[in-house]
Amino acid sequence: MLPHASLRLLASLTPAALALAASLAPTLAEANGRLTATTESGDVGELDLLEERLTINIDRQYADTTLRQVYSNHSESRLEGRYTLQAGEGAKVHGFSYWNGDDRIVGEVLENSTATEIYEEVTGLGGDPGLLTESGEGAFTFRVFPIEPGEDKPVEVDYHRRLERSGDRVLASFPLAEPAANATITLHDERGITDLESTSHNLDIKRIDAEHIEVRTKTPKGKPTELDLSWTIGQPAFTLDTAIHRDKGQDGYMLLTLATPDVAPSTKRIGKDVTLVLDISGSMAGPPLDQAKLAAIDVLGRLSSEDRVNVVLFDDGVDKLYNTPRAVKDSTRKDAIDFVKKAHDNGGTNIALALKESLAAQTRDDKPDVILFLTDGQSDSQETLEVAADDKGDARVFTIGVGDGVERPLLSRLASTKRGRFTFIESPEAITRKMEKLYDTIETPMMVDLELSAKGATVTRIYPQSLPDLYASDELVIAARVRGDGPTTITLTGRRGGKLETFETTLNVPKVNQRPWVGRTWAEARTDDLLEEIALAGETEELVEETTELALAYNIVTPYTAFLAIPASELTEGASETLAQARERKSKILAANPDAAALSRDIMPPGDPILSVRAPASAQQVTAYFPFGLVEDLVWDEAREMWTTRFLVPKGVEDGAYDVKVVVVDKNGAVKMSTVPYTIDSEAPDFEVELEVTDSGVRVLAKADPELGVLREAVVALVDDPTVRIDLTLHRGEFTGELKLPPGMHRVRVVVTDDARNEKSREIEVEVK
Amino acid sequence: MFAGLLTLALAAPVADAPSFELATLHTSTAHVDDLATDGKLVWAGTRGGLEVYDVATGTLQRRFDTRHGLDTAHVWSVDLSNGQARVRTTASECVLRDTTFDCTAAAGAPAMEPTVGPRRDGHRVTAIVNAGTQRFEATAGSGLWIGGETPRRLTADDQPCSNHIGPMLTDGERLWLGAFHEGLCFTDDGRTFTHASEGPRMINDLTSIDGVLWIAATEGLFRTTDGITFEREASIKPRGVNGLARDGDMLLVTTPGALWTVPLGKGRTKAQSRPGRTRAIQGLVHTTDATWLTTEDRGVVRVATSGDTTRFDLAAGLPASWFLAAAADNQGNIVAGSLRNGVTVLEPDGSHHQVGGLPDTWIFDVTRIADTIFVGTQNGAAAIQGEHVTTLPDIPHPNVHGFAEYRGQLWVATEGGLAVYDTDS
Repeated sequence: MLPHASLRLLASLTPAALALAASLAPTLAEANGRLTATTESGDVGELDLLEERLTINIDRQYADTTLRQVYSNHSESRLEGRYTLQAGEGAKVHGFSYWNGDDRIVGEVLENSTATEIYEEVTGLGGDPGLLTESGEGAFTFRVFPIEPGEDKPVEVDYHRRLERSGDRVLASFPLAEPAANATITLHDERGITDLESTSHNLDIKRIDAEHIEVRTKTPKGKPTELDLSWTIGQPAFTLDTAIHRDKGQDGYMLLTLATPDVAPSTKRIGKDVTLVLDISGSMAGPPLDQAKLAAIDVLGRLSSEDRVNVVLFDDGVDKLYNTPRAVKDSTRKDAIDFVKKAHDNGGTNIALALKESLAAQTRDDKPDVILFLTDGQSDSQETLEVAADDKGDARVFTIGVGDGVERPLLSRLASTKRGRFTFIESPEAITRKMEKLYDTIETPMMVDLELSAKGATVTRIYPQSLPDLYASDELVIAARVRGDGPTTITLTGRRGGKLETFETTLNVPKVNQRPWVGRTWAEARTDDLLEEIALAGETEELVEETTELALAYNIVTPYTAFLAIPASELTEGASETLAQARERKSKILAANPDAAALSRDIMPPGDPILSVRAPASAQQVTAYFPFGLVEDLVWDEAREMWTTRFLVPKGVEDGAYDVKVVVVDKNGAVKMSTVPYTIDSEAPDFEVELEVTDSGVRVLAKADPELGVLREAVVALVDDPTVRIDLTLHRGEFTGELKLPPGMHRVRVVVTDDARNEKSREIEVEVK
Repeated sequence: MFAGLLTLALAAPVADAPSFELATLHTSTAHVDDLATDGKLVWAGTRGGLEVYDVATGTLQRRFDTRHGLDTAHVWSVDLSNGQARVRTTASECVLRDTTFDCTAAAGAPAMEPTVGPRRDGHRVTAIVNAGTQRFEATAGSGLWIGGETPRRLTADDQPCSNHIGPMLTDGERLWLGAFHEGLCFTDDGRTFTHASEGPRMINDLTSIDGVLWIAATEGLFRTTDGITFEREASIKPRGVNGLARDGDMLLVTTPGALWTVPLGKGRTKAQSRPGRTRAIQGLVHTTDATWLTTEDRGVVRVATSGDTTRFDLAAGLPASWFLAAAADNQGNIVAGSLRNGVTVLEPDGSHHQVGGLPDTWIFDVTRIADTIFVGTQNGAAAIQGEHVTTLPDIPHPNVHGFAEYRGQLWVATEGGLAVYDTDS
């Protein structure tokens, strides 16, 4: 998929340059909005930062930031830049651009097929479009090219994040490249804002009223790498609060929050049973296991005499230190640490078995049961999740994934199902910090067994789907859709200190309210859930279609969409046309959203795609008019909250672009129309193939004829024994791979497939010596 | 009798090809596209044929379908000018001469412009004519009505729930029918039909095990014991359930991305995600030693009991990698139908060959009944028995989606209704 291809591109194009850059330039962790550059000959060039400006709008705890920087190339060389931004955990980029002279090159999110086609066409001709990728938690990079000698290069990134709340304080930090960066911040919060301060900068504060403040930075205090702000909001802990966004005539979006207080020093500590489950399977071999053991030992060192402890090691079998957790004292702590230290990687992975046995080994008394699961998650997802779902105990499962190979969807879903949390530890250096934070969390449960209900308007599509327990200095954030209007009571119940507590808020759901970030928050939560579902249960056309549509509407980078910026001057005629079509389609989605209609496939051979239309459930009529004379009334699908139908494209329909017209008649009789474009493509792709005999077989390279579209897959197989085959991998627009063959004459068959699943094959004879 | 003929075929080599004669046709006239009247009769062009009603009494007088010369049952325009009934179907202009229609090729229905109008019984009103003192309203999905202060429906309500049926399943005295859009319906006598309106909508497959009907639907996997109440199988979360088969005490289920095993008694549902690296499973057939998946992208994938997979696709020398349906014949072969490259027979030794003589290479369905393999194509249906490939005559619509034996007759599901055949001529 495109982002991975891009990462490989970066690595293969300028490995020497990157290595040089890494040795001389700031590391990623320090490179907060940094543009490092290399010359065409591979040397590191100099870029001065001339200007840095942040414009930050904060509504409640949603911070929308535009970071603008201007770099200057004082060298005499043409440079290629790599811009890196560490925006912070939870931050997401929704826009980026740079300037070539007076031309602003704006990044846009496109479907992968479109982005791939354009990217390959441009790079194939030696161009270098900007491609934004997520390179770590809250870290983003993109390439900037060219940076001419003497040029001043502006770069702009838009990103957003929900700010953390601790008790009644809101904490905000924004990365800076230069301590003296200019920042203007506009704060708005109807809960009231007081005690605004900064540890990093002196501030010029202008209070408009109790709910609005405008701030400018003055001089930095020392040499900060971030702009830190904090303020108090006038809302006590344990207040159930809501924020709504609603467009006229459409279902609304709701954000529901409840914050817990900081833990008081006098709070009595509650002992708990802690079971550490450590994955020692073969997939953990090397640094992942070493890091997991460090994390486990860190936890064991934090346990107190009020706790009980057990350790479980697993691969395709399970090895328990004790049958059930035992009281922590010097001897048991030592036993546990020794047990962890001597663990070594072994065979296969059976997370389900380990989970089942760990859950069964709980004492089930008054002590809270906590299971910390350290694993890379590479195991049977469905079986693991079934074990979690079947377990009726109260144990909380916290999953901890260490290193790059972590199966995040499984670990996230497992933690969510068992009301725990998922912690991702990206590097050994982060273990101590992350485990400390996790352990502090586990130490201070504030409210458990949360449940949500609503009377009045209907609240649906709630994320997270399982409500987590709340700890000290924590905040519950729920995103949901809301249907209907008028007085609505939202009720949240949970157990605090063993007693059932109820929190309620009543609001008048408005017919219209503009708070777009609420919609965006829901869309991101929904997208994350869809991606998790796809990862766990496989792709369906509907899941992919909805993910793609949300990603296009809200500029979200997913495995199906890519963020691309290309100067118009670098576009060929073909690429320009492709881009224009993609923009037209996207603008229809944006204009019609949330009425957005989409087909499960928009490039198809004759077959049976599904047409889905987002329109209110109360609509009187949703009807689709197809160009081949078919008229179909759509039916409301309660589970998807969309109107759907399916249809067969007749065999004789010629290849080409078509529109489906959709009419929506709402409950009041108002009529809206939209169109959904689709393409019939039954033409087989064509391709070039090159074979290169190697010592052990044949290396195959296949690439598409650009006149006939983009290839999606390629495979090569031995004609006499098709079980001898490999799937070729995409790299810079070409499919490559090596098929292992013994010496002798062979006949191989290369098959390529395009996006509409049209295929073409070619057989070639080759002699391996 | 159908079964009798096949029993005879088992006892001795087949000398003659089987024969099929259209006995009856069942269509739904609930979707009415046009009306015309001469004052005494109202003519309703529907997706299930042309119906003629008496204005004074509202009773059905005649019905015309493909048995009366229409090339297809979908009549979208009716014209009575010049004292002659002239209709347009999806591919022809047809003129009524006495009791049958003469059809000549003509352009199909034009792309309709979106319109908004009144509704009746929750459905769009597509046409209105006034005749006598009555106002006749045509609806898209609820048939023909007489409007006014006390509206009443004229179209019979015991018709099949759809003209586009796919999977069918004989279960004792009952024939279950899965519709492309409208959900589930059934017949207990072969003449009248009941719509199981509480069930899921887009049906992809059916199977019955121990009194429980399992329904593979786009909305998920469902089950029912009575056709009235339905329960969704919670352990299958993904949508797009498209294949069912029994393996002992397990139900095998496919969704596009996984092959599932659902225990019929106690136990836990398991999934094999992307077997053979497919992302687009279309259906399955189970044999004693393996499960065979038809896929859009990996051809036919054989899944051994060990979980190991083998792909039979274009790279393996088959004509394509996009297969829609398959059945196991009585020789141990897997007979697989592709989207547009005909039917491939995969033999136990791994070799394969194409079936010739089919009416089309665009395949919708492959079903085995006794020792016959039936193939539904985009240009008719055929029966494969030994060396014989017999095209079924008088198919009401070229797109054929399913087959079943019921009450000694062959039922064929097309996009223009249900064709019922006798095999004795």
